[in-house]
Formats: sequence, structure tokens, C-alpha cells
Amino acid sequence: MSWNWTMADAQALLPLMVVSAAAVVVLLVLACCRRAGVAGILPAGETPATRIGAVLTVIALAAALALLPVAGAAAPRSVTFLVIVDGYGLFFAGLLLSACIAVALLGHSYFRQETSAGGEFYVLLLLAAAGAMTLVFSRHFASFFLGLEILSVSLYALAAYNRASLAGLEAGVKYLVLAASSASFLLLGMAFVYAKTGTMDLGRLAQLLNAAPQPALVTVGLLLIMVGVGFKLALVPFHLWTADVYQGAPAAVTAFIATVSKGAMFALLMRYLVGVNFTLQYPLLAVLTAVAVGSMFVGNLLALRQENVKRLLAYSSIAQLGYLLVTLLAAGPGGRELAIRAAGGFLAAYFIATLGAFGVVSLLSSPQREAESFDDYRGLAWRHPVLAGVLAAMLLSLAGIPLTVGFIGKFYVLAAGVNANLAALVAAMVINSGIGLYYYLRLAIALFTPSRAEPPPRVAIHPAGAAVLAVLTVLLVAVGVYPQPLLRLLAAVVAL
Amino acid sequence: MASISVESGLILSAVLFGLGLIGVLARRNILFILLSIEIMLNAAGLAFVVAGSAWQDESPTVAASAAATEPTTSVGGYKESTVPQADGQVMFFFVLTMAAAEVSVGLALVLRMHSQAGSLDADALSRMRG
Repeated sequence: MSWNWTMADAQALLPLMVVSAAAVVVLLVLACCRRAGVAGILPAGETPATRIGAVLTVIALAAALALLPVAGAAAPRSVTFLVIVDGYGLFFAGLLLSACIAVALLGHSYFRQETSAGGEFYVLLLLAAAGAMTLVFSRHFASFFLGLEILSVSLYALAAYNRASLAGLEAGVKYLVLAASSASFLLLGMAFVYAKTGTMDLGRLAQLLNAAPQPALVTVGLLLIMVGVGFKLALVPFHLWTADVYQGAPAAVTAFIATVSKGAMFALLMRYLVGVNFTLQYPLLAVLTAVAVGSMFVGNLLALRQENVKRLLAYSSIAQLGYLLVTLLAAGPGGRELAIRAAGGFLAAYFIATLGAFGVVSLLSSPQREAESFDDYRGLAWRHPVLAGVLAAMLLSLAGIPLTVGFIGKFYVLAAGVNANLAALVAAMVINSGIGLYYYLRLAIALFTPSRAEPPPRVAIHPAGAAVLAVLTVLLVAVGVYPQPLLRLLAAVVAL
Repeated sequence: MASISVESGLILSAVLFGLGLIGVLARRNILFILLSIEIMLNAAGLAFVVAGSAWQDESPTVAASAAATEPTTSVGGYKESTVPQADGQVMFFFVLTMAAAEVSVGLALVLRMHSQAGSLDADALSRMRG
């Protein structure tokens, strides 16, 4: 097994290396700052250390983002048999890194008054980002598993980050027990597949799936792997953790779980399942179709009567992932390019709107008090007119109203579905868009109705969080009105 | 050396996995839930060792035939080798490492549960509804 490390390999891995190194550096810097605080060199308290951590984290993530074109110059390239760096992976890595920057800034505004919690938030965030990037670039069971676990273990700690909060503890414990169980399902499935095929290379497995129907053991193994994947994507019937974890975790972390963690897993799934000829793998096709339709209906119906905004957004995200699965099923042997473009477009739209919606929740919340009930949002237009407008825009985008980026994403997915003659799935998607409109508009209207109860106190808006929301809103409208740059980028991704 | 067939090894690991799963579902004490998760993870690890031992002696036929028909996807400096593979055993080390990381975070949460909720009962913690 001969393999020589070359400069081109280092170049291709540069963004991943920057993020991983940053996690270690930030950890050491935080330790030094705390020591300096004790010794009296820096002002006492945790605030300076936290601020330094935030600045370093954002710089590292931005540097990794800026290095993506540098890595792209060496792409497509397999670095060892574990990792592949190509245009597809770089596009999703860019999406994930941008989302991580937004989450870091939102987290900084969320923890603004917190004095006891140090900057570990940023270390965990960087580790999770490194895990997510590994997932996107992985081409082997080992890197798939490692990326997934680096992401998951960081998220256990992040979900339970609010030390005073019992709901946060519950979210952390629930996420840990269920994520660890689902990871063991995934591992058992991988072992079964390996026992029968003798290969752990994901690309080669996709080829085997395309060549012939597989023996029962491989099908069982693949379905077990789908349990692990379905859990991470919060698809029905593995969605039970979603609402509790979304509600209990700090709002900024919830935004991360809803976007980065799901996006990375879907990018991996899409990369290897997109070319598979499902007519040869009937069990897989049946399961994926049932999961997609189930996620749309269960997510949307559970959201209908929801009185908690974080839970409402959790159920909405289950339904949104159901729509996204349509692109996977629409791929087939012929529709590969359209499917990848549709998935990229839809995920970009979902990232913008979800980060925006949780961003507003996060700005209104603090570690002492999460703004999550409908009463916190009733009459928001009078207390924080700009925030109310931003949240309304994000909700309209999630509902897929024209002139928002959500419409472009949904339109793309529908086009892919129609192109592949998936009548049942497209019908389910149209029906569910109707159901979805009801509860998105219910929340949007609540923002503009006067509140009957005692209004919650007006909170100060941190500039970092406000900047994130401004950028997201501009993107939401600009791409919605003039989508050509996004479409060109997606076309370039497929070509590379 | 008397050999154990791959099928029996996989069946053993599936049975162990099932026992762990029952433990996760039936136990209410968080420590026992974590223990059961360990059993599930180690069952999967055992399956990897069994699968690895099945492929270690022979050159993998399925993989080799796929490699022959495959156009050149090995863009890096890496070349497909025909040396016997130890991938299953390597994966077992990854599983062990990851299980340790998971349990260390898990035990930290158990400590918080003990001090904040005053109980190690998983049901006592479950309050969110809707």
C-alpha cells in the first residue's frame, strides 16, 4: 500500500486542516487567557477570553472559506483512500463553513451576558465544523464514521451547554443516547456490508449497487446504515428526538443542528446514492419513498397546532428534509445533474431561511430565558419591527413564496421530481406545501397582532447577530429575485 | 486452526446487538443505558472483526473485479493494492476510540444529572412535551 504525500494533497486538504488546527489553537489560547485573567494581566472575568475565542473562530472559519478556491485548484483529487476533494464537496464545504460563521456570531450574541460559560462553545463549534467537512469529503466507511462521530460528540456537549438549564441537560442526554444508538446501527450495517462485499470504499459500493441486485445481507446492512443516516437527518420514523433537542438546546446550537449537521449528512448521502439505479435496489427505493412522504406529512401535521416556536421550526425542518429527499429519488441514471443542482439550491435556501429564523429566536433569547412560546412573538412588530420583518421573510421563504430564495429551491426540487416522473412524491410535496403555508403564516401573522398578555421585556440586540441577520435577509431577497449567480455556481459544481 | 464461519460470527454479533438494544429500551437508569449502548457498539465492533477475518487471507474478489472494470478513479498517488486487508480490525480500533469519547461526555452529563435533577432515572429528566 504505497502512497506518497505531495504538495497537491496538502493543498486539497488545506481548508480542513485550518479548521482542525483552529480548534486546538483556540483551546490553548482560551486556557492562556484564563490564566492571564487569574494573574491579573488581563481584566478579570471570562468576557475577554470569550471575545478572543469568538474572533479567532470567525477568522479561522473565514480563512478556511477563502482557501476553498485554493483547494479547488487541486480538485478533483483523492487524498489517500479516505478523502476525496472535488467540486461537489467544495460547494457543500463552502455552504457549511458559511453557516458555521453565522452560528459563531449568533452564539457570541447569545452568550453576551454569560460570565460563567467560557469560550468552549467556539472550540466545540470548530470541532463540529471539522467533523462536518470530513463527512462531506469522505469516500470510505472509516472517514464517514469518524466525521460523523466528531460532529456528534461535539453536539452532545453543545446541546447541554447551558449549565443552569434543566431542559438543556435533557436535550443533551436524549441526543447522546439516541445518537449513540443510531451510530451503532450504522456501524453494524457497515460491518454487514463489508462482510459480504469486502470493500469499504463508498464509490465502489455505489458501483456494485448499480451493477446488480444485492444479496439480502447487503440490503439489510444498507437499511441499518439508513437508520444512522435517517437519525442524523431527523427523518420519520427517526424524528422523535428532534423537537426535544431543538427546544432544549441553546437557540444558536439549534440553528447548527438544523443546518450544518443535516446538510453535511445529506451531502454525503447524495454523493453516493445519486447515480444509483433504484430499479435494481427495490427495497431501498421503497424505504426511501416511504421515509420521504412520511417526513413531509408527519412534520407538517405535528407543526400545525404547535405553540412553541422552536418546536414548530423543528417539525418544519423534518418536513423540509422530506422535500429534499425527493431530489435523491429523482436522480436515477439520467437525472443526476438536475438532481444535484436541485439539492444544492434547496439546501442553500433552507440554510438561509433556517439560520435566519433561529437567528431571530437566538437574538431574543439569552441563556437565562429562551424566547420560545408564541406569546414572546405576538406583537413583535411593535417591539422590534426589524426583527419581526426578518422573521416573517424567513418564514415566507420556508413556505416557498415567490421572490424569496425558498421559492427557487422548492421550484428546483419540483422540476427534478417532474422530470423523473415521480407523480406520487410531487403530489405529496404540493399538498404539504399547502399545509406548511398554514402554520408558517400563523406565526407570521402572530408577529403583527397586538399581544393580549403582558409583553416580554425588550432585549438589546447585539451588533454581531444583527449583522448576520442583515446578510441573510439580503441574500434571501437578492437570490430570490435574481437567482442567476446561484444557478451558475450550481452548474459549475456539477461540471467540476 | 478450527475456524468459525463468518455467518455464525455475524449472528453472534447480531444477538449481542439485540441484547444491547433491549437494554437501551427497557432500562431506566442512565448508567445502564450507557452500558447497553457500549454493548451495541461492541457488537458492531465484533461484526467488523469477523468480517475483517473473512477478508484478510484472500484477495477480495468482489472488490478486485470492481476495480478492474472501474475507470481510473484513483486520481491521487494511491494505487489499489492486492495485499490482504486488515480494514475490519482497523475499524474496530475506531469503534473503541469513539466509544470512549462518547462515554466520557456521557458520564459528564450523568454527573450533571445527579447534581441538578437529583436522580439517575431517565424518566425523571423527561419533561418536554408537545
